[in-house]
Amino acid sequence: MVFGPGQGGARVVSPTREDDIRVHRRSREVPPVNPVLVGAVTVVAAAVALAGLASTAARRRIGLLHLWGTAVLELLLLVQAVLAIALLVGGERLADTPTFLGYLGGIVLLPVAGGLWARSEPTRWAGTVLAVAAGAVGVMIWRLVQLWEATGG
Amino acid sequence: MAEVERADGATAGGPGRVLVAVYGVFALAAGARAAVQLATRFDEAPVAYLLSALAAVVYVVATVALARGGRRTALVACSVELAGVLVVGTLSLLDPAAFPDETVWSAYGRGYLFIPLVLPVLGLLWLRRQAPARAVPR
Repeated sequence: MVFGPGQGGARVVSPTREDDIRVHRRSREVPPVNPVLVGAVTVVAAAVALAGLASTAARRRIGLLHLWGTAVLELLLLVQAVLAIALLVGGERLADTPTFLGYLGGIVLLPVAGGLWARSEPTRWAGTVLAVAAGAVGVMIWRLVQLWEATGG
Repeated sequence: MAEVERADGATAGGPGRVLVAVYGVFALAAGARAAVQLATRFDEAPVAYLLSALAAVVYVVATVALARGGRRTALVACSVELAGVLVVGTLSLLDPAAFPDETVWSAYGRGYLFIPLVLPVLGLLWLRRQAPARAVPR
């Protein structure tokens, strides 16, 4: 499995592979919902959620750690979104593309909304707000995987 | 970074902000689902999809009302929501044929970890706790 962010389906292929595979078949081998990215998103989302809950438990506001974690999460999701859209434009067909795009748009908004809403909260509950957003991302990324795997043939 | 205690009785402060965050997520989830359902396959189950849209609108109203401190609006939205999840939840179990596709309120929100059932109760409790009579004057 070779991962090339934002390159589109056609070029995401290992250099040693014979070039007799057609473009749209190749992209099928590298899902836009990339396993490496999905794993990274899950881990970072869980870390941000735990950090948020920890700061609430410790009666503290959120700190730089939370903001950086949220930024990394957002970055991963943007890479994921660009990759998925590039491959969809490149001819991939899903059973339910509108729902997939709905989730993709929603998941990209969540860390931004959660981060802003948490930053403007001066109490210990800011961390829990962030944890809600990160938790939702952690659930939605797996829903995206399901939607991707349900292909429209 | 010690915590700043809040004493303005606003619905959007402290734990209330967590509630708004959860409501926001559901407004997004229900809204996106309803938009997709209505846009792509309205004919298959008009009742279920219109209910999805209604649920989405209620979540959006509740989110905004809680975030901006509109107590009465929030109270109405949470009540409608509680009634909705109970009525739709019961109907979807009694007459599954009328609900061929999932809505957020189907089977009391089973597809969403029953959060749709718990959320309006928490919302109403929170509004009660933040009642003007007991709030510290601004």
